[in-house]
Amino acid sequence: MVRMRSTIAILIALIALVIYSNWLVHHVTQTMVLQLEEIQIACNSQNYKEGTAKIKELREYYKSKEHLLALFIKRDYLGSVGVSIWGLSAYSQQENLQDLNSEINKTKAQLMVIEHLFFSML
Amino acid sequence: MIVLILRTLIVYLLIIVAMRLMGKRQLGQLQPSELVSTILISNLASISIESQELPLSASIVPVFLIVALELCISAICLQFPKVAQLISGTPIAVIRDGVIDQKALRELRFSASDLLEALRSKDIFDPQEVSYALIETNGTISVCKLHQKDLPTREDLNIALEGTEKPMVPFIVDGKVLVKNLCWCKKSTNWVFKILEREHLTLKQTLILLGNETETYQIIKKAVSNENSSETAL
Repeated sequence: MVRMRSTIAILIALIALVIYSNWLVHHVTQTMVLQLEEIQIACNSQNYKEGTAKIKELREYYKSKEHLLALFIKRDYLGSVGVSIWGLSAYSQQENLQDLNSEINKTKAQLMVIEHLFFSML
Repeated sequence: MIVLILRTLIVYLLIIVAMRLMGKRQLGQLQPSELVSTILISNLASISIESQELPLSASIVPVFLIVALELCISAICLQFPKVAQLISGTPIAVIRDGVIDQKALRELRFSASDLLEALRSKDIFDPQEVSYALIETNGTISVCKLHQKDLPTREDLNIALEGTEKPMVPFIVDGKVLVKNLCWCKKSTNWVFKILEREHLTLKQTLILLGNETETYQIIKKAVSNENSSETAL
C-alpha cells in the first residue's frame, strides 16, 4: 500500500514536472522571439536607442530564466543562445543593421531549435 | 569537478531510493519486466553522470517513470493473474517422473546440457532421480526429487525433536535489541536485560545475543580492542 501511494506521488510529481517544463520552455522561447522581433522593428525604424534598451531587457530576461531552462534543456543549446544574445548590442547601429537582422534571425532559429527539440517526439 | 561529484551523489541517492521503492524482488532473481527496468535504470543513471551538459532531469524523470510503471505493473499482476502470466510467463515442467519433456525444452530453447547444468546446481546428477522439475518464470529450476531418492526427514526416521523447533535467532545485534524476534520467541526485553545483568554486560558491550523460545542463549561480546573477543555459551 505504501508503494502504491509512492507510485501515485511519483506519477503526480512527474505530470506536474511535465506540465511545468512544457509551459516554461514554450513561454520563455515565445517571449524571447517576441522581444527579438521588437528589437528588429525598433532598429529597422532607426530607433537604435530603444533597440539597445530592448536588447538589455532581453539579456536580463534570459539571465533570469536560463537556470530554469537548464533543468530541462541541454546546456550546449542554452550556451549558444546566450552567446548570440550577448553579442546583439554590438550591432545596434546604422552601419551594422544588416548584421543585426542576421544575428536576430540566427538567435530566433536557435530558440526554435530548442523548442523543437524539447517538444518533438522523434 | 565539484558539479560532477554532486551530480553523481544525487543520482546515486535517487537510484537507491528508486531501487528501495521497487523492493527486494529487484535485487534477487528478476522477472522479465524487472530485468528490463533494471537495465534501463542503470543506463539512464550513467547518462547524466558522464554527460554534464545534459540536465539531471534527463535521467531522473525517466528513472522515476520506470519505477512508477514497474510498481503499477506489479500491482496489476497481483490483482490480475492473467496479466502476470502475460508479462512474466508461466513455469514450465521439463521433467515428469524422471522423463525429460524434450518438447518443453525445445520451446524454452534449453539444451540438454543446460538442463543437466541446472540440475547439477541442485546436487542432482541423474534426471531419473527427479519426480517433477519446473523452469520458473525467472529462469531458475525448481526440483522435486523422487521419494525413493530423496533424503529422509526426521519424521521418516521417527526421530523426536529435542527441545525447540525454532532456530537460534538474533535478539541483539550490535547493541540493538530486535523486538520482533523477541516477540516471535515469546520473550520480552526484560528477559534480555536479565541475561545481560547475569553476564555483567551492557547493551553497548554486546555484539550478538542469539536465542530461541527456550532458555538457551549465546552471547558474543564486542571486542574491546582488535585482539580481544570472547564468547559465552550456556
